Amino acid sequence: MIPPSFEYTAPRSVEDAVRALAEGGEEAKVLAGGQSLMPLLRMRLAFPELVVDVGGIPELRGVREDGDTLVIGALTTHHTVLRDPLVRRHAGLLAKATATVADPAVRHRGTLGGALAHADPAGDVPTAIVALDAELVAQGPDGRRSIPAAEFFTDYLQSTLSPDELLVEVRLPKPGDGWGFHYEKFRRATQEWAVVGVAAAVRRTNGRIEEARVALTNMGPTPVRARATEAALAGADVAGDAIARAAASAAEGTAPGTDLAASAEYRAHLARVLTRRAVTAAAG
Amino acid sequence: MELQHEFTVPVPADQAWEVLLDIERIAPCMPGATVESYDGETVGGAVKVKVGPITVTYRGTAVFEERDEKIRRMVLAASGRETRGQGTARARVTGQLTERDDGGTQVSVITDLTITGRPAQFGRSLMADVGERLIGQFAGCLAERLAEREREDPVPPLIPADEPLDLLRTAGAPVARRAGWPAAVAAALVLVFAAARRRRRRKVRGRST
Repeated sequence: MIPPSFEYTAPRSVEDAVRALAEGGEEAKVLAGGQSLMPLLRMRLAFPELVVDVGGIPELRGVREDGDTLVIGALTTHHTVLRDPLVRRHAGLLAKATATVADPAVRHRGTLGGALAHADPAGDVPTAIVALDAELVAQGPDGRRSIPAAEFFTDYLQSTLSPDELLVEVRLPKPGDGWGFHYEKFRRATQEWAVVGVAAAVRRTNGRIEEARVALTNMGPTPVRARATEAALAGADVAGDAIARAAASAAEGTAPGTDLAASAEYRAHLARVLTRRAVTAAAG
Repeated sequence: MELQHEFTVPVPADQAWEVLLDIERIAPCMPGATVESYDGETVGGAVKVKVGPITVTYRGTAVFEERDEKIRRMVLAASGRETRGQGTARARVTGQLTERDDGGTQVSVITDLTITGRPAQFGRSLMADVGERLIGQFAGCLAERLAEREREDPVPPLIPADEPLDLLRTAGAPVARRAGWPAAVAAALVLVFAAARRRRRRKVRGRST
């Protein structure tokens, strides 16, 4: 279908974009790569009165270092994120998860900021960001603010961004040594959404896991950390069945849904199995 | 799908029955709904539902199939179509009041819901909890209103439906499973019908003075 009518504006600076959003209020929507918004418009599920196209704001793109922090502009495409050498070195989990998003066409248009602002719990990028404890920087009429990933996602398709705020960059702390990571995604056909996905990052020394971060895709209204599993993994031996036992609690505190792809029970089962695989792979 | 909600209120059943029909008290429990017509039997109205960037507006009718004051059971049949799409929503809401031994009333609401069209397809699995929580919130609010019956509180005005029903804000903390609109539509259409009944009762009162 063709989208419903809307007004269109293409600001050239973040300040102009924020002003346009403030004027549009609840009826304005940001357009980045369009890989989430355009399907909604074409299916006539969303009816924004004003579309603010931020694709022409150059300072929103790019990957750079800022001391101990890796900074990725919100408008950086998935394609850039997954092959950037700085991302691969300092946020390998994000690169790996981003590589599983949809297909190359979507990855060439879709952006990091767009995927996060859309806040789909079945998305791979939000889950990786939650596992990495990133900080999301938003700019609004009152200036910039930094939002921890753990607080950013509030509900299905909902984040703490106000209607007049624009996500401008994502900041990731550079991890120390000893970290391994893996993203395990279960889907029935290629390019599909994850039925369930697990992002695991593990710091190990001499055959022991010192600390672990495990986040789940599509196990609730937001990406969710498997805290019970993380706690059980602290101090666990890589060899033996410690990882399997820790993974058995992966679904605790989650609220998976039932749909055509899987029942809630099956999703819980997948979470446990995929967590074991992801942590084992991350622990090397 | 079927949604079930139960709650108890500390008032006798016949009082609870009356309050359920007192729309001024329960209208604020469900924003986003409007009454557009009432011909004495059938209520026509609309409800606008919002989930993140997605908005759906249903317009339809509701009619009481059953209103048994002796056993305190009501059955409302509601159906609506999307105003901007081809989807539909159909709900059969059964409300049952039961007197309890302690003088209170048990209220049970069973909603049988069917949603068709793109919202049902797009919603994937993560929308059902929204509906559950919404009906739960509505039921909780009803419970409060019913408990307030004894006090002579000033009646809050009927909320105009300029604001769409923002499922995610009103539903509060983490939600989302299957289709959320079903329950919202059901609850809203119950409200819509009750609003029309109030109009009718107002007219009756006017005539008798």
